[in-house]
Amino acid sequence: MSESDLLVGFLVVVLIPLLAASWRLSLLGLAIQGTLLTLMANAHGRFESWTPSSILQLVDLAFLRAFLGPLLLYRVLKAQKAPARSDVLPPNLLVWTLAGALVLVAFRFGRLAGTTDTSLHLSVFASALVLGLFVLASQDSRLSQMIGFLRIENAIALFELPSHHPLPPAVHGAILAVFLLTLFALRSFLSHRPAPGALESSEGPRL
Amino acid sequence: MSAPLPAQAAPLDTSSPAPSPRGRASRSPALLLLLALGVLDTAVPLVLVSQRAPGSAPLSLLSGYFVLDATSLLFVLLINVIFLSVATYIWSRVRADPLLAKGIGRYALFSSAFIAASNLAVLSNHLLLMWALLEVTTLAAVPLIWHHGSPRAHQAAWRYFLFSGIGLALALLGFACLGHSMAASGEPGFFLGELAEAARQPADLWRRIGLALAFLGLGTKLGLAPMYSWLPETYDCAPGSTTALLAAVQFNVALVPVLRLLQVFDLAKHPAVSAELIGLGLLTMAVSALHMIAARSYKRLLAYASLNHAGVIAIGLGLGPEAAFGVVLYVVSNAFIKALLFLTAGKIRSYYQTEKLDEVSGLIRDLPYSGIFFMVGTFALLGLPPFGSFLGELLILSGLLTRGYSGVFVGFCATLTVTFVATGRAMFPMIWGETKRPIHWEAQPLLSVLPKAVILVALVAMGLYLPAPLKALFQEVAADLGGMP
Repeated sequence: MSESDLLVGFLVVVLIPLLAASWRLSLLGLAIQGTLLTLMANAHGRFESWTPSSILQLVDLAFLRAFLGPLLLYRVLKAQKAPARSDVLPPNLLVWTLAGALVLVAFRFGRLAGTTDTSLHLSVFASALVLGLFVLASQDSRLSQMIGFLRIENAIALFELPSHHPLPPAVHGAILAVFLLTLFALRSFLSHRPAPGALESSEGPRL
Repeated sequence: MSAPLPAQAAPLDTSSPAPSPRGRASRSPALLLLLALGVLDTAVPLVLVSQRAPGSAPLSLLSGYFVLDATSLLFVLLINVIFLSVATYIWSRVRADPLLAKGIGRYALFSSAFIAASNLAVLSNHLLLMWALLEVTTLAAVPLIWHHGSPRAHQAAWRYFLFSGIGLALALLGFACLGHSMAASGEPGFFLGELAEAARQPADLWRRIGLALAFLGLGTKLGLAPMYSWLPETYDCAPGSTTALLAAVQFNVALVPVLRLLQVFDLAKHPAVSAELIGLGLLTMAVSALHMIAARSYKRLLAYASLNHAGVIAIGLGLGPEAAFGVVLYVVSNAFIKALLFLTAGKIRSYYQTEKLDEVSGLIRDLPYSGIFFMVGTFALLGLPPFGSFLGELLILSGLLTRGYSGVFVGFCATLTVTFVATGRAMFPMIWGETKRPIHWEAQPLLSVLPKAVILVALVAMGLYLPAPLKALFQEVAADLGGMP
């Protein structure tokens, strides 16, 4: 598969879960995004030789984004027997039209800011980013906000893919560790959600 | 250690042969470790500042990943002095109320991780490493916010985590855009020296986008509008000690990358950044002033005042060299003010069992020490002389006039006036109003008053007299921002 095919695939995976109100599909979408990012990194020749930087990138994309992140959230939701329906975006025509308009604006940005070679990459990145922000802005459920947040993280990873200048391993490792801790923090927030209406309960002594 | 001071906390019972719950709680290894960490972390930078020759070259540490220069030294000293105050406050609160000892080991552990990451972030010489360490401070602060486990605190911790995560993600994207810009003109690198080298090239689209996103993202972490809504809720719902850590330590840790970017990228060549900072600052001041009028809780009022201060700092930074010294002075004063007020607010809440403004009255009679701390803190908050905040604000206002920003000057003065009236109307009756409780003073250990007293002295001293080594440090940081030495 060429990089263009992978980018188009990424855009499809960014769009489809927005239209289907299912948390399983949303998490599957995140996992596929991570897989496509790994394939794109491979297409850029990142894994031709095994350097600390390439190993860290493989762990980041293939393990954390494609596997661990979606899996951690999946296990919590399954244990909580969460209802199958979970809107990533409010299900109405206005919101879908706005999402479509944002994608058009993102493609316009990609054409303006990129060259012939890079415009598709920039367009897909900008689409993923603005749709992630749109999910965050339009939803107040904790799961939807987490999915919006992880979509933004994946969009940033997509933006950084073409860079041929690896970070020092210590810095790359630190960023990776932070992302891993963030995933566990997300799991913790999802599994300790306060019951509805419990926000005004009385509190004891405080530090 | 214990002095019979007329104050509010119960005394330490030393006559009992077996250790009392209070004594056992205050001797918790985790608490003692926290105190020891605070003392050590404060002593080292204090010695370094006193021994340092003005203008000495930056010291590179650990293969250049960390640097000790004027900026890092000033902020390491500042955050550790405040951390020591917070650690002492926690110790004295647990000692006064053994019920608070529950979960204190975990609290101390995350506080230690928080201050360790904060120190490393301030010392970092690599922009992305600084970013990662700032994220670690955010992750370590989450359990500190929901320490009491109340649903409100949990919700506040989530909002804090989400907004911080998004803000830092935007900042990371901004750094990636800067990398894109540098790649076009040569080898990209995020060590501060490499950034300074790259900044000499003419600005392109990616650098402009990168700087705009980086300041927007870091501005979110500082609580600047438009993404400020996490801050009042978090400061309100978190324990007083956590709020002090967030407002006076983490705020300054998040400010350091902003200062580093401004040291590297000359505002004269990037007028859009200057406009962005001034615009965000003025918007934040206006938003906070409106919220302050409607505030019904003293902690929330202080949170909005913190927003106001963030706005003043953003405006000062946007002005560049004209206000550099004023900004440095204001930033340090602001950290002490917030630490003093939030720690005192924690004490007030524990005594009155409420955070409602209209239910607290006669503070100066009910809790004389807390009343004095709150009164002086409020005066400094309002920017009255002789505090450093007064001089800092004056220099920023003067910078606005020097740059010819008369519209911003008018907006700044108008919001300050509203803030002054709203704060005075709410706080003054709280301090000097009629007391609603029978007065009952109990002895209080000196150590529980000392941290706030030290902050208070530092606050007053900054407006009246700065010791020569500190003054030289302030001037060097201002000079690094392009200001007059």
